[in-house]
Amino acid sequence: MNHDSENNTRRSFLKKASAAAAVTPILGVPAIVNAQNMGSKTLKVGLIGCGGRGTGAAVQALSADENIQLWAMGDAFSKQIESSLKQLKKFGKRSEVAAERQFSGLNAFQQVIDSGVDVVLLAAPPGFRPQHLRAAVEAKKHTFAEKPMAVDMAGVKSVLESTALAKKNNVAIQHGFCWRYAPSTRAAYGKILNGDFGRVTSIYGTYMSSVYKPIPKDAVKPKGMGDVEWQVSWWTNYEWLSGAPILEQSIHTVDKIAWGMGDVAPIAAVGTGGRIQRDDPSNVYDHYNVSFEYPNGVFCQLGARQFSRSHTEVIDRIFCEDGSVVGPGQPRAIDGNGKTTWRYRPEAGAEQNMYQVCHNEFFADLRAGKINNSGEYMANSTALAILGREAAHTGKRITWDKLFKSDEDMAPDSLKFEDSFAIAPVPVPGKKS
Amino acid sequence: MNVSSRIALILPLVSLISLNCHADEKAVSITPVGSVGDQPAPEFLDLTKTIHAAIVKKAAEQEAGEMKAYTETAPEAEDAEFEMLPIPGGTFTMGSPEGEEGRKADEGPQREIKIEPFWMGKVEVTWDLYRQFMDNENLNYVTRNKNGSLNRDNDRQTPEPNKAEGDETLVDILSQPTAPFHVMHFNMGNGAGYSEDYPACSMTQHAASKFCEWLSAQTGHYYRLPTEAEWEYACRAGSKTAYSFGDDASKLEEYAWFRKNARIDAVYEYEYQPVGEKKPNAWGLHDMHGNVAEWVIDSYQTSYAKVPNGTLNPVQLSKDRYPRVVRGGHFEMDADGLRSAARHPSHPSWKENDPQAPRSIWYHTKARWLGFRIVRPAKIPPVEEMHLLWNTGPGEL
Repeated sequence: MNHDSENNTRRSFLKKASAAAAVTPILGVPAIVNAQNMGSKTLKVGLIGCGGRGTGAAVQALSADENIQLWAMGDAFSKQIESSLKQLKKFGKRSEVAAERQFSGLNAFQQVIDSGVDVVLLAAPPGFRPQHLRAAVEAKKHTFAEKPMAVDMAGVKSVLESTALAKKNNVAIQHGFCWRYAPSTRAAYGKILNGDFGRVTSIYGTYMSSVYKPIPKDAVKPKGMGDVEWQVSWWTNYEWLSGAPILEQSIHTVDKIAWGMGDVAPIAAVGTGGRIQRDDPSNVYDHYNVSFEYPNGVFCQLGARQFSRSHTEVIDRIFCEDGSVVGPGQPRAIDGNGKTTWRYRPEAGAEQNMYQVCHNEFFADLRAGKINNSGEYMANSTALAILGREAAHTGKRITWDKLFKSDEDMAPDSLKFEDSFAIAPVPVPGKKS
Repeated sequence: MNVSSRIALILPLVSLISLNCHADEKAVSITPVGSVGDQPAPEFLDLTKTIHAAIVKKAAEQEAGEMKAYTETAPEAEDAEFEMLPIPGGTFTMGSPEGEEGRKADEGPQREIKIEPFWMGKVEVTWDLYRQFMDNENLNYVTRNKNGSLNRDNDRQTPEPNKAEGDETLVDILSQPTAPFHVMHFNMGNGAGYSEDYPACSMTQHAASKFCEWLSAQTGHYYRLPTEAEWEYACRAGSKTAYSFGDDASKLEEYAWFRKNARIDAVYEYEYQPVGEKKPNAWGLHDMHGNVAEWVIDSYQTSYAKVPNGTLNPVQLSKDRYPRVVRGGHFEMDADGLRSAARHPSHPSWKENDPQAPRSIWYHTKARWLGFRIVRPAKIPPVEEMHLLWNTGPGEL
């Protein structure tokens, strides 16, 4: 599955780029200096990836404060920009984007970054995220990056380097692991991490859903269209673009496992997975069961699948010495007898929409000159999902240390729409791909 | 009011209910007040005609007789069963008197309203009935266009003609929800996913209406959401008091799940409860007060001023998506909100937790206390009325 032969793979790019960035201490311009021009100025926002989620992120950014202007938009497909703009009309002049600042194609991200924006929202398929993040941070743009941060370990390492570079460049990175912003889960995990229920002894998290945007079995690539364009248009179905469901969707549950464990590094993972319902032309697994091993004999289980006509649930159960917490919806704690000992009650008047909280805090902090950077735990949660996926793919017990020795890079950054790009075979445990 | 004066009232309001259709005008069972504008969902009109014809045919094959309670099976919902109770026609006073405790201005002015007979669901629509419609899953991974029609050209933005192909059934080609990213039952109920006997929740009014169409197509009986007048008439069950059982709110715990008694105190006991556990009203209907709030067809108008006294089954229509009306109050509300006359307007914030733009036309991601129950009018209305009431439209997204 490696494509190392290309000159410009993500990995080799990293080597050339800025090894120094990774060891740069947090310095940069004092935040207060920055605050002087951030407080009241109109912030120009560039949207990269104008699908449903990207457009949603733009709505939240524009709702965060009155002095935000959507300045530029980029998407692989121009049609997406059109429909996105239609959705944003309600913001009037603030969402009017001049035609010369609407960019399509795989290079649109760079054009948006270079268009004079202050902030970029990254919502293209995750396979592109490390490249987009790197370009944004190098250009000193404050960045909101949707989850997951990458689809492979070369990508995770790139994100970690971009994180360090962002600190040096004094620009913020905000992430899209939305549950970290929900007042309800913040309250629940705050109590867990505070030790209110005793030590965490185990977690069982599920993301069992139906199939989201599958490629139809009979879908045929139009004549003359390149592999890359076709695959990008069906991106959730291809591992090099989406990372597969465990990265694209159940990473929410994976991230909450990481959160419940205090974002400490795991030791290893063992897992199973495969394709049991799907027989379409995608190359992603449709189910995973992973056991993450943590220090002190704590094991965390992930049950993830996309099955039709089956039981569905998305539940986190965080077992602690003195009871357990069940979430993420209306989180509550129960004791060993099943008695509810705590439950979340929304605070009157507080913003409860986690997606909006995310952007409200992002922009309020920028205004106040607070430069946040959540790159490290974003990258760690992404790597945790990759650890689970690789354990399922290989059938092996994979340690965290070994994972970080991997430089797997599923696709070169230099791909063009018209390129031929064969889909990697579906991994079979025990079989070298 | 006699039929001809009723028709005179209708005509200037909604040209849809035309008189030159095959059914006779006596079959018109609602009186529209206001309008949804142009004919809604013209792309689905042929489907309505097909379903209407099947319903008319089935009715002709059955002997007319006294309306009785019955149990129906939904083949497309893995044979889930539901009970329908007969509600006699009659006249009632809609709205609350000015002295009623907890009354709000939108509950008046009180109106004398005439209602024709119908059947109503004994309980709120449950997950075991709603789930298959909501997921409309299949192992062939056939996807849906944004408007719910079958996606045949692999472009979800563009709807295609609604014609059955191959072995597709009428039910297959009806508009149904698009696949959600998150599970849309929100792990409500017993806490472990779909919980059969708990009320289905969080659907839009549009989704509830399309469910009724889906249920009608597979059963051959005409189901729809109740009008606001039908709902209140059925809730009151002959009573004129604040609640169907009287004015004493302290007795509400015997009849309803609401803020006071729907608390969690065990692992699998969530805030809402299985249907039918509390006492029914005089006509046998459970949970009209509380549990989940229930959709009706009507748009929310701030009063009944535009509804003339003596109107036969009025329905207040508007082309605007918001606000529409929900009734009965829910498990997070205090007693006042559960009164027979209490009305609650819908709001766009009910979709707030949807991270996508446009937001889905199928889900109110933040309204997990929102459900519905179905009715079946005794008379089969003309196809235009049937179509109108299944398609008051997704409206503004």
